[in-house]
Amino acid sequence: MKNRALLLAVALVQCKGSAAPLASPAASASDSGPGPSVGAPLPPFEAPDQDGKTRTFETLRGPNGLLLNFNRSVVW
Amino acid sequence: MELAGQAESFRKRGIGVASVIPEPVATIKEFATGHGVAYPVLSDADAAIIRRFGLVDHGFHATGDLVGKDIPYAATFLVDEHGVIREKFFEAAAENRRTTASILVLQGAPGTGGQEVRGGHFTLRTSSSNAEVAPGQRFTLVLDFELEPKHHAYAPGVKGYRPLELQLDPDPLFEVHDTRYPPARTYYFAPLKETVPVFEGKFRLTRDVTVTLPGALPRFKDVEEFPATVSGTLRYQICSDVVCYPPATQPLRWTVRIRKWVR
Repeated sequence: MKNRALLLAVALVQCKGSAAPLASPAASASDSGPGPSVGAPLPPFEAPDQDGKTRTFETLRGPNGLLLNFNRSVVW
Repeated sequence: MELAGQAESFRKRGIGVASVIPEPVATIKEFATGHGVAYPVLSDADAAIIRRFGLVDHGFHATGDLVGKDIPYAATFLVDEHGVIREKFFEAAAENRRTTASILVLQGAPGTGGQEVRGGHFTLRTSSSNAEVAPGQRFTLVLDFELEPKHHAYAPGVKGYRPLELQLDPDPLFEVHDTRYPPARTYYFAPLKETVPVFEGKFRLTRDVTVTLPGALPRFKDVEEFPATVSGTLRYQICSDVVCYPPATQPLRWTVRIRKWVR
């Protein structure tokens, strides 16, 4: 704690502060580990779904993108 | 899969949902029909996709039917509409999984449960991504702040003021991860010619917690579920354009049910 700063700040009246975006990176998900990195394009893929219909990124995505999840098996 | 319960919430946000599993179509169809899975589950029976993605877990010790098969890490990618990966979620330990509800609150969705705290010059609403969690699941504690106009809290790295910090009490039941902060803003305080990183207005802090297997499993000897509390202390300091208030603390707690299995 900088007590002097605290007291000064308390004593001073009507001082204008300005706020601007800081150039520090935003908190983001961990980018470590295997597989493609954040910022990279998703590798192309094509596979049948449970109904045997061939699926690609374009047929799976919504207007705002896609959540693509990899699992070891159907149960876990 | 816990994803099934959350798929609709993602679709409402315009985000499609799909899973990739290294099993034949017939196995996936049987599972999807039996569990009412209403999103596409892709069959990567020859492991071509997980190999192309570099997601094969070579350290995985397969048993039973899985021997000799390529098994992927449990990983989740959030991809934008142009096909660019925006977030990547990955658990190194085979027994751990981040909940899909956790990914959802990290995108700004509201959490569940929690409390409202009215502090001096701010309101804090706490919540959790999940009300029920199982051993190995990683979920997210949420802190939604609303500061009074012309007030600010301090971001990590600030000198001379107490930065906003959530200290969680040690508990063998929980492994805690780093706090995620929003981007800070720089604040120039002319009288002291001081430039400091601050948070203002409405903003969200999150902190992930994993339910540990060694902490949880012994507790299931006689019960199928039990309540547990994540407790801690928020340390902070609020200042306005005019007045700086003394550093302060606020005890916080999140209660979740720990279940043997979560559907």
